[in-house]
Amino acid sequence: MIMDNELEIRLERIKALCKQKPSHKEVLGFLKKVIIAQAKVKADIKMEDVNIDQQIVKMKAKEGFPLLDKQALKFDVGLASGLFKKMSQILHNRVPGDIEQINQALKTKELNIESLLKNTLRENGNYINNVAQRLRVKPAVISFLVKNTLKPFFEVYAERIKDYVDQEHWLRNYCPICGSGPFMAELLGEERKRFLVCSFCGYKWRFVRIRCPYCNNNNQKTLRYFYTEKEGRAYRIDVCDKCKRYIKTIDAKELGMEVIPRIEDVGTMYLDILAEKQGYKRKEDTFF
Amino acid sequence: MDISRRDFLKVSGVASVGLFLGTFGFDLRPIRAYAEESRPEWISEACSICPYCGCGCGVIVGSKDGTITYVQGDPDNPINRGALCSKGQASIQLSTVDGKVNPQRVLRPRYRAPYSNEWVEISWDQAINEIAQKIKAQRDSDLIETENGVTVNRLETIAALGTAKDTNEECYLYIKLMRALGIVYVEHCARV
Repeated sequence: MIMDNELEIRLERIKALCKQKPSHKEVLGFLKKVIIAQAKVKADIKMEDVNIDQQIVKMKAKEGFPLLDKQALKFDVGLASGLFKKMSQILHNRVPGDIEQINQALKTKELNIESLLKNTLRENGNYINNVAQRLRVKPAVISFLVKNTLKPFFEVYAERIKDYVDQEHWLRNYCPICGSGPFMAELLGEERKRFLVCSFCGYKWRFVRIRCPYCNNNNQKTLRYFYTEKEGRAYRIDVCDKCKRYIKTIDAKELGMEVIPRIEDVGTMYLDILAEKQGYKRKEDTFF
Repeated sequence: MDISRRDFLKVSGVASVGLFLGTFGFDLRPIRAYAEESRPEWISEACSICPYCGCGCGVIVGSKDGTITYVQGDPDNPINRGALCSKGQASIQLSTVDGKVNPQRVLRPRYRAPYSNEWVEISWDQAINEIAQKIKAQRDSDLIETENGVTVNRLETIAALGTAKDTNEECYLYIKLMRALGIVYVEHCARV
């Protein structure tokens, strides 16, 4: 099965990174659990083929609308609930108080997984904040659970409709499929074309090399990047001095292998620490 | 569709790695220690145009502390889409050779007097004056004011060689000057 092979490659890479950087072992181990749980669910997701009218595709691309209407996304509630519970288990020893609180709310029907997921898709991030406040848990915990539960469904969907995207002409700073922001960038091929990686559905889309993917600043005097001598030029942090944000970038040619963005991102968290120390902030994350 | 729904899953305005690690109780110390051992090497990138042939390929020029460290094809330029010929790839040597400023790079105008075999560095003012005087002398002696009773104001003994890499505005000024002088042989490198 393709899925198993894919998972194997991911686990191999995590193993290699753990060996290379024991300092990142704990957080990579955490990611490993998340990835395994998601891969299992992903293999079971059955999604019908999606047919979108070419006229609508063209109109959406022109006006800058993502292809996916999130509210219309259908997902198997049973599969999603199972993954939600699995994710809470993974978090249990990290934030036991919060997870107990959530489990309690699920038992008393104060919290319903299906409506939590659906309402989040409908009502924006504020909904998560409200739920968190009501249950007296950290918003990041709810956000983590929701995002990581929905992620495999979005990934499968993105996989299905990716051929509808016109890579050469989208060039916007949000995902052409689901509309989320990028959490990482990749330089691909001999020409080092820049691709942004969606923080949600994982789709990679083409973007301009010298431009801030968050504020669209293209003044080259206020854009620069750094790498570290220790790690080499495969990993770099591109910063914008206008909006003071950064994006981690991986040069696939330098890395010498296919990039698995989530794993490389977590495996180089020290770069985030360095970037924050230099006064830059991150905008998007895949965890929450 | 409401475009603001794009960030529908964002909880906080800023995602911070410290926040993530802290919220979920990870031990930050080993990662911090690893970061301590690494020093950021800053690089600036700028878009430019290859100066050689008339194609005018786009290049990205990377520099560290003001010294150019690499030149590569600009993948976003529609002319070359990231590719460069061998000469373009070596164009970094116009400025830098092995990390040092190219010792043969010409930084100021030079003058070689008639019958001399030596180049002498001169100032920009001197160079511009010299050129202006030569153009004036040539024009004064060779300008064809009329031909068959028609005013033509044509200067056939000077040719102008421009470049395919100028902007529209630069080209406007350039052609304005050439036509004012009466020069009719106007060329640029894309046709040479």
